[in-house]
Amino acid sequence: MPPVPRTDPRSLIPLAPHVYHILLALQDRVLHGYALIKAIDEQSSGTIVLGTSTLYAAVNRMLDDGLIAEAQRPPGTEYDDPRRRYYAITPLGRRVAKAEAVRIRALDQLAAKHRLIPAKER
Amino acid sequence: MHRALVAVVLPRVFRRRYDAEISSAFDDLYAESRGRGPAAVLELWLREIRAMLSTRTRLHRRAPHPRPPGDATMRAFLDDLRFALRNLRRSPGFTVVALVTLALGIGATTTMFSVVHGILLSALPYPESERLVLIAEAQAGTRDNVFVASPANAADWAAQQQTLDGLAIVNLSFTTIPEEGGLTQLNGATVSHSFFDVIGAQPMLGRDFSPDEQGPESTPVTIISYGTWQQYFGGDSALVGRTIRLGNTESTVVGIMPRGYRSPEEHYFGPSDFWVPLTFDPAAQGRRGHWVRVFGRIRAGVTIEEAQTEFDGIQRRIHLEDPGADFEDHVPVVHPLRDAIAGDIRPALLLLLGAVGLVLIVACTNIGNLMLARAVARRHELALRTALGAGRARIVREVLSESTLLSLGGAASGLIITWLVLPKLIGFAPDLPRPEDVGINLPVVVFAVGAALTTGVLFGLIPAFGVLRHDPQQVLRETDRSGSGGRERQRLRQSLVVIEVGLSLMLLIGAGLLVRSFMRLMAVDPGFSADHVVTAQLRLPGGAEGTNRLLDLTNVLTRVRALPGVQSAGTVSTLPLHGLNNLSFSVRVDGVEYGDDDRFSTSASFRTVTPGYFDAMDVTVLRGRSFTDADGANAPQVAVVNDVFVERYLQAQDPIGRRVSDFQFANIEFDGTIVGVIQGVRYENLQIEATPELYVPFDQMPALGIQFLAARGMGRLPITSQQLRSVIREVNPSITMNDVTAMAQRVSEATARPRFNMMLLSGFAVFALILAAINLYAVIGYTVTQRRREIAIRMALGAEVGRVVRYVVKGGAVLVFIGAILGLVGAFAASRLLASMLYDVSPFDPLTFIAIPAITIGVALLASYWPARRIARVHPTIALRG
Repeated sequence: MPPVPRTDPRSLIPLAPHVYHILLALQDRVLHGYALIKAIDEQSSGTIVLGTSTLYAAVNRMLDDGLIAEAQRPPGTEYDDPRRRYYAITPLGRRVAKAEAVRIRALDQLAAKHRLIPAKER
Repeated sequence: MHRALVAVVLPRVFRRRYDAEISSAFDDLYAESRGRGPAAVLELWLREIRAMLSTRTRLHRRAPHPRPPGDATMRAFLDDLRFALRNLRRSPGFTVVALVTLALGIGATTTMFSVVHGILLSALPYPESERLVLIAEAQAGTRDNVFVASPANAADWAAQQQTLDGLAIVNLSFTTIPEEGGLTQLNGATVSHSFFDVIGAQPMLGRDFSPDEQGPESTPVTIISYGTWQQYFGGDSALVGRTIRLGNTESTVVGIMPRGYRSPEEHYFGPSDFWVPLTFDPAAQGRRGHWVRVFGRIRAGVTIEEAQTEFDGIQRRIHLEDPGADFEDHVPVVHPLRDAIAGDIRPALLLLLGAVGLVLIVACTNIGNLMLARAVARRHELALRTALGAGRARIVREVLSESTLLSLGGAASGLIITWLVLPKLIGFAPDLPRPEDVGINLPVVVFAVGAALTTGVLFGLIPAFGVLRHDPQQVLRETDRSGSGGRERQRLRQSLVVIEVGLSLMLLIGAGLLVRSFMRLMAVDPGFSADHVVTAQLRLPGGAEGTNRLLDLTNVLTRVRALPGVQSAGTVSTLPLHGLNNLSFSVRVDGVEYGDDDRFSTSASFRTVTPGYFDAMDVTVLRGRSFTDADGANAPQVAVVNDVFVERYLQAQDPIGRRVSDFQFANIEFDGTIVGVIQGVRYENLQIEATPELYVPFDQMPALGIQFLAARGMGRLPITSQQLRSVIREVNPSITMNDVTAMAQRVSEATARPRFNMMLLSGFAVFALILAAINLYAVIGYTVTQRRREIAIRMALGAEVGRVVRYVVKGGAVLVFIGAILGLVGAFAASRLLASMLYDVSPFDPLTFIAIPAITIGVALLASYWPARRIARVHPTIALRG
């Protein structure tokens, strides 16, 4: 039986870093697997390079949790590799991403308070 | 391969949902990483494998359902591997040595297999290529001119055969194409209209030839290659149907072959830029000249033997119906095309593959010994675990996982070595057939992994065998921590040394024989002198620009002879060791008895020469004279034969003045007298002796448009390309010239293959010997260490150092001698395999069979003596205390 989607964002955080990155990458566009891997590579300045299995395991989990959903192919991609599936962020996913961002910001401020990082450097 | 891993590692439910996407994403990632280089590809693979393994663990942790039983063994297997990996990491020295040895051994073996697979095993790139054959004529009893057939015979075969789907006649063809600045030469083939159909290839644009486009009266058409289309016509897609100028004709392009199409005649003629239908009628060309190649496709369900039988029958019918023609001596031979292309390289390749396999065994034995030493060091731990209840099987599995991991690592690094070495090997290997088919593909990878796993099991079993047979209680009770009680182990190590010495000796003897053979080959007198001779290939134009071939050639030669430093110059239709233009005819010689039906058993290779050629190549005139300018087109026809001709056909009687007649070439009948005898020249290669030859002055039979210029002068290259080019331009710019090479270089290329075989085998043999010596060194060293106390006691009791050393070395010497004897026996048994690669050396050559063992024993004794020197440093009291 698939797990029942939870609708309170706070119950889904903290997110694993690569899951958060997936949500960020999908903020304003629809992407397929390879494009997601490349986007995350770029966003994270090369610190997170996902293997295909890791990516799709995360995708699987996020689909189950309702953070992302399969999407229609964007116009112009009709002749692309038919195996590709595109994903888009859901409203729940946006809320979760936002909640995670808030959490991270709180941590940032805590670190600044303890002078681990300068307050301006964000 | 990625998909295969996914199928094995990831759970089924997940896989079903995401398999296609994962493949798609991986394909994109792979394509991108290939562009960034091999390091990026490796990084990608490592990341993927790690991701797969960790995803698997994570998915299982999440799964609420019970795991199916199959996965349990997978987990145990992965656990074993992880444990083995930890163990290997704890002894980095051993791991590195083992990996390097394995990488070299598996790398070398995989490289050789890749070559063997590409050339001997893999299918040719044509549909149902196993049905393709080459039909040749061989002179019964000898192997002269095996691959070339006579056109009239070929035409009869085509008409009468029923075992083939189709048969195509092919000959070399040249033409020129206008380009800025002049004419560019194109090489190609003239073919039967059914040629592409027989092969199973189709033009990608346009169409194949049609039957009415063949023959002397047909409108000129051509099919061009993809490369020609791109290079000279800019890939113009409207080219089909247009006419282009080829040579002197306006030819319509009817088809363009696809990119990457490899045509079978290219193995003999070199790359084809274009194809044209036969412009001559094969049936009208007579049976006495052999100069076409015939390809065929056997009908489905028919065997080669059946086809051969049919062709034998057809030939016999031809004999009966047309007894005037010569060919009693020629029999048709139906070869599978793949074998014909591989040619005589097969025995050498298989031998090298076998040799490298032996090297791999030696390498494995070394690693086995190393692992044995490690297992001995850990035997207390193993005994404890056995005593505490760990099953023997479990421990064996552990040892085997270590060796499996090592061998897989060896396979991976071996494949990397193959990937690096293979292109260089192909570049260095002389005239390898089908080099495009040699590469790293699935069968090669499977072979590497298979070899690795097999060797892993082999050398994994050695320590398992050596350590686990002991009663664990006994091991635990041992007070002597150095473990000298391992009599059986020592015996095992010694037998391994014996095996290694034996195998190395076999390889060394093989290498030694090849060295001797090569030296003999270098000493061969080819019948001419190659130093200070430069050669070039000239193509005299036909048709309108070529109306004055005789004059052109004479002018060219006059000017060439006038160049500074040139002593003599001439031309010939076939250069020795070149292989082009090899025509042969059956001729009638007066004074020779022929049978009633007028068949001529006297056939000879036919060549046209100009005066000065024999001087330029320093060919000795044995009797009579060579040609002069007086032997012109209107003078009486004359011929020069070689000594082989005289011996074979005239029983060494004086041939001067004898009439030679009854053959024709290009509509000129020959009926002339022999005026001279020259020393035989080796034409095909250095190993094969000269065959009967007949030379005719070019002026009297100028039909062959290709002539090779040979000029003797000072220095290695008496004439440069530029000089020759300007001479030709002055005389007739339509003459094309290429392949300006020093004759000495051609000779060197002719010995390239034996040199290559020799160097490769020697390399393998030396590597094996080094491994064996290292192993021997280790074993003796181990003995010295183990028997410290015994040695110390002997010395304390007064034995002098020298005697003790000799005593230890004697132990090693015994092993070496036993190994040498076994190696000699093996070499005797196997050296027959080398016979086809040896020139003028017996496979049982006594010198080699004595010298090599002597050298091997010497090296091995040195390896035994070296660690024994340590004995001198053993101080008795210290040793006794320790």
